[in-house]
Amino acid sequence: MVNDEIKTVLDEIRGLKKDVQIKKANAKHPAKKELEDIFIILDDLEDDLIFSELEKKVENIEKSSRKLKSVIKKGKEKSDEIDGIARKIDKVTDILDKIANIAGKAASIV
Amino acid sequence: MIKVVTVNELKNGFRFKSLLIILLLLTVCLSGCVGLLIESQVMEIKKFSAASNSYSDYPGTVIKAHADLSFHNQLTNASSSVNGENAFGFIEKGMEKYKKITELGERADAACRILRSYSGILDKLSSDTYTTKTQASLEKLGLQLDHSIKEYNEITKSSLTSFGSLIAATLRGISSVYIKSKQHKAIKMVVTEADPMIEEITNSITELLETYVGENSLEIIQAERDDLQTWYETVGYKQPLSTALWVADELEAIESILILVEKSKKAAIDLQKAHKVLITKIEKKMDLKDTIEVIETLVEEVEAAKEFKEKLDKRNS
Repeated sequence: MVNDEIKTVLDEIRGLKKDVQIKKANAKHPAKKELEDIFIILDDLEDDLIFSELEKKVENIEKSSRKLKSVIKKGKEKSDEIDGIARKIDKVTDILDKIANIAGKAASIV
Repeated sequence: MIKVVTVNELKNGFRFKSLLIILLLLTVCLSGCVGLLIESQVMEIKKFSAASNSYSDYPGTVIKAHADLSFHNQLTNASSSVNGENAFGFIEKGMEKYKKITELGERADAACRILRSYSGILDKLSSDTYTTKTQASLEKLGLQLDHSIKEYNEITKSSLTSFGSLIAATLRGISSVYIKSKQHKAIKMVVTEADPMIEEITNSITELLETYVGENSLEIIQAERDDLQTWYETVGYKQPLSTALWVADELEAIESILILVEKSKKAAIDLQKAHKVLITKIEKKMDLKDTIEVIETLVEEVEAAKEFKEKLDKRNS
């Protein structure tokens, strides 16, 4: 939801911009130049209002993104933990493998 | 010797599958887990992950399209300006605006990419790489055991039945169930904790998109279209045919942006809903269907273990 006041101001600016554009098309110098200068001022005002609103919205996304990052970090830790379990199983398997090898050799000696 | 005979007896006396089911169920109980990562949960995770992965580009694309549109409108102003100085000013302003808005789009992109990281971690936690990792080493162990028994039999002229593949298959089943229970627990934690943040981020994205189009929006795209229309109706129409073609292209682009905004808004809401479904799927107490699925998962593990055993047996023969 956007700020109603900003919306009202923007509507007015846009209405004025349109009027100025139409008048400028039919005007002669020096009025034409003056109308264009007014158009530039109005255009700048419109841009500033829009940009500040957009920036606020992007900042909100950034803020929520930072929060989600902390959960992702926890997820990564859990993933490493499970990886660690898998590695431990590998290690135990490796030890069992070596024992089996030794046992096989020992049996053949006996 | 007594131990070897016992294993032989077990192998001959009991059915292999039953033994594994008992061992797997025992593992589930001993690991203190409340559930296993079941196939339908993995499917839901994959679906959500694919959706959020491709979604993350949309908001930035809308902002960048706005930057293009705005830059082009400044060029139209320059083309009909009263003097060179003002015309140059319009071009400079257009470039500056383009840069500012594009940067904003990049910031939105970077923030939305978190959804990709999130889907990435869900993919990782639900993957079977943890279990396949252990499979190779267990396979090696099974072969080694059987090889040792074979060697022993040859030297001592004994006839001990090889049980390496049985041990390896059993260990595979137990470790797989244990790891899957850990995966389930981790996913449940991540999905539950992330849910309010997913809601927040999708709401923030929707708010950004609503700035562009909608009843209470700033009607940014419509305003750019109006500027273009007024320019063309007052001065632009005097330009050559190429200008008319260019305007038609711009109007088409505007239509596409409007559709993209609407679709992105809907997709953000869908993404939020999909995450809610995911959390329900992961969190909810199991009904009969799910219980059957858990049992099926167990049976699958048993079957996989059996296949694994047969594979080892085949290699040994």
